[in-house]
Amino acid sequence: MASITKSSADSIQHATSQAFRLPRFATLLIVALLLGCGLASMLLGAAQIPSIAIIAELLHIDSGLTKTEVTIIWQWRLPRVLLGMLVGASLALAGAAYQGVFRNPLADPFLLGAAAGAGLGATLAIVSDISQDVTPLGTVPVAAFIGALVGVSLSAALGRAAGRSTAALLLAGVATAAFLTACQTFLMHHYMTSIQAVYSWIIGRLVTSGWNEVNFITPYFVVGFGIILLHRRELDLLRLGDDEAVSLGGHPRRSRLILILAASLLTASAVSVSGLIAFVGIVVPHLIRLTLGSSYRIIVPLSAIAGGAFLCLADLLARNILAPAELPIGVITAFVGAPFFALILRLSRQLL
Amino acid sequence: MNLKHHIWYCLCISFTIMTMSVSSWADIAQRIISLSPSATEILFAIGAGKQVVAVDNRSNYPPQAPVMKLSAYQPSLEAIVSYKPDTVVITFDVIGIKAGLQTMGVNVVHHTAATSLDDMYRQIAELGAVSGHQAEAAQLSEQIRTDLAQAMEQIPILDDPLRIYHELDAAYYSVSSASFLGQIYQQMGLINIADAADRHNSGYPQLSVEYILQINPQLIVITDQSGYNRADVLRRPGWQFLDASRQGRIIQVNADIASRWGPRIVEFVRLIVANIQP
Amino acid sequence: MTALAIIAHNLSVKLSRGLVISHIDLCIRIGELVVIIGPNGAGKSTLLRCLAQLVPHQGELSYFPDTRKLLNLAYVPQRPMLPTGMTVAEYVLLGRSRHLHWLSAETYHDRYLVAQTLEQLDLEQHAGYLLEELSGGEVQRVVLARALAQQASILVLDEPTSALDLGHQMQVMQLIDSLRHQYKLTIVMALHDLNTAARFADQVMLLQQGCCMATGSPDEVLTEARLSRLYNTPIQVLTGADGHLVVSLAMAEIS
Repeated sequence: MASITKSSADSIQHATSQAFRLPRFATLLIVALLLGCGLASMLLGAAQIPSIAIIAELLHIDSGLTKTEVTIIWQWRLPRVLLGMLVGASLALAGAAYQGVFRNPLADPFLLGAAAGAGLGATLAIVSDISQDVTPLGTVPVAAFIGALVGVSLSAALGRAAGRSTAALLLAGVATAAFLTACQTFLMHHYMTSIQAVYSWIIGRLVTSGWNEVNFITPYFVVGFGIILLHRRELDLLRLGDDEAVSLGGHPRRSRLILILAASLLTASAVSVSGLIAFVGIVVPHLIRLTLGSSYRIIVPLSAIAGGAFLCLADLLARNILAPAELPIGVITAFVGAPFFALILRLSRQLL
Repeated sequence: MNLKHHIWYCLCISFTIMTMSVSSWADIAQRIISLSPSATEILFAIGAGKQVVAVDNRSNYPPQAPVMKLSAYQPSLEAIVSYKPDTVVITFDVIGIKAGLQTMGVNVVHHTAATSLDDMYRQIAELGAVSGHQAEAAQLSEQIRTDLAQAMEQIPILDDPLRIYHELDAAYYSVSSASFLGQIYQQMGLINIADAADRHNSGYPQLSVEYILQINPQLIVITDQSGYNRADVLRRPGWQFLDASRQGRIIQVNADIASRWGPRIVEFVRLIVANIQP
Repeated sequence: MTALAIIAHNLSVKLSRGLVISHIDLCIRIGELVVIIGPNGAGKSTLLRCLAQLVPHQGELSYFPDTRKLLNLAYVPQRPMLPTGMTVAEYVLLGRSRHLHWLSAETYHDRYLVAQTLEQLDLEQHAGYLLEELSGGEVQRVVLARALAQQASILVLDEPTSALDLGHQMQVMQLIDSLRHQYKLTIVMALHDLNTAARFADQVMLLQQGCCMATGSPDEVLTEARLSRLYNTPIQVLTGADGHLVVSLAMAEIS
């Protein structure tokens, strides 16, 4: 009798103390992965610069590098590595938020017409031949950003007209995406000569011109990440359905609106500088869910970090596999992400 | 007696020439449609302009070419046939246009993009044969050869050949020696930095900006249809240190002459050579 | 006289299928246990949801002494949504959501309370199990644990014992009753089992087709005539050995 009581006391103690907590070891591992990928990304590139010199330069010690090499490190490689982390984190966060709002583990950040809108915006910018001097970023990122937000707004308006449920919103997103994609395809046919430029934008790559892109995406990332992080408890309450969430003190309708807004901002800013990089937004949060737990208190912060690490790694490969040529990053994320995801699915099936 | 002989002799010769012309007249294309801007330029340069009844919407040179609402990428069989051609020159055989035209009895000349100067000369000769201007075609090829040789003579002999970077767009797509332009650069004795990135000979690799900065090209060529100019290139961080920037060797060329394989390639080469001068 | 906890006057609820609750008056005192009974489709669940502030209503509905717009009220639905991948401990911990500051996480006190509640409901060994691994009865106790962890002063429970065996039914009702007395909780619950209602309720309300047919103490409401008419079958009401009413089916008359 005594042993049963003790073991049940232990189990209850363990269960209650572990409930909703970030798994310590896994968190440290993922953070280490992010830092490791970041460092490797800084050290490896098409320009063969000795690693020690790079580290010295980053620590502001005299490294003996030429002016060109110093410029490469500070103006091209470092912003690109940071951009990869920010874009990866943004897409993973947006994916996690959408998965929580729609209670669907297959939701991805491009669900509500964001991708289609961005694609149309980018295509319009590419074919219209406006001078690139309009903004420091060029016309394509700004047009893509606006396009993404327009796409989401159209979906929201259509979804509201069709009824106020999440299912209606999902269907509205599908319809809007189809329509906007059709517009884009029409444009591409009409302006066949620019098809290569549009295609290379769609497939996704991290384009940097100095620090402009990082400066652009950082405020959106900070705001989006902050909002979604603060709503991670609401995301867990959303899993109970609206009635129970309200009775537990949650605000499901308000939270859903805010989360969709934040996720759309993150998606729009990421897509505007990197094109449509597939996979990150759906695979990373799902991976965290399968391996570390279904609570959004775990999924939200760890998806952000893991997403940043993942895209950083993908960009590292895209820049170095065929150096000095570059591969489009969307190809790498699909090649790396798909089998890895399938492996995890298989393993977790055995565990259950 | 002598005069009679002369007249008879002349009449015989004329009659022979006329019959010969008539017999081969059936093979000469009288109504040509060109869906290739390069072919358009060649046809007009060899004097076949009068036989060209329509050209596609990208064929903007020479100005007197009859530009119609024809697309080379999305050709419409009906639109093409409405001009009653007997010969159509295409670059891309898409949506079965070649087979479609052939079943309607139209002669299709399929000239894919040239990847070398020899390709171009062959295509000039073929267009000459098709349009009945063989002599002019041979003459044009000869003229181009001479002009190119003359232009290339002006290239100074350097101990270290110049490194060239030809930029197609702002995403650092370039041309390697597996492409037409790359071949020309190679003939000019320049080192194309894109070759190291094109092990599969695709012709159009995308380069890493780090590589471009480190390899330090001495000559940069950009086109005028990519939305940015020389000043924009100089603004890119670190590009002001490149030899090409410091020596003022960033050339912006007309995108048409840099993408077509025809008589105006000489203009392109002359432009490049002019910028190689010390 | 004890103070009132919930007052409803002329309460009506209109859903898409029509008027589900019509013109109900309700007075519930603090610390009372009120049971709503009635046949299927009478509107019990809707009335409870209305009291839990989950559906819009016409008429007056007021709460005392907590008059905030979003008061701390624990609601247990008939068929709760069980998210996948969540442990029992986490599920019950969600009950503490109202007590958390928006910037902070769960404290040691919250977790201790959850452990205590699980022990009270005989769920110590299930603390680490996933929700999908539990039986129907265990699920009901877990949901109740979450409601109790909320430390709300008003509990609205929709058939909280329907899947429990007799032993656990008694245990849970006795727990609710003792907690009610200890913390002065006000409890409104819908029940199918009239015997449990008779044994534990202070007030019984009989609902039929959205209207209140009778309200009062169990003795007043649970009469043979009324129940037989309500359920359309002969019912007898006896007095058990301990003084509580026992409701059971009578033999149908062969005519």
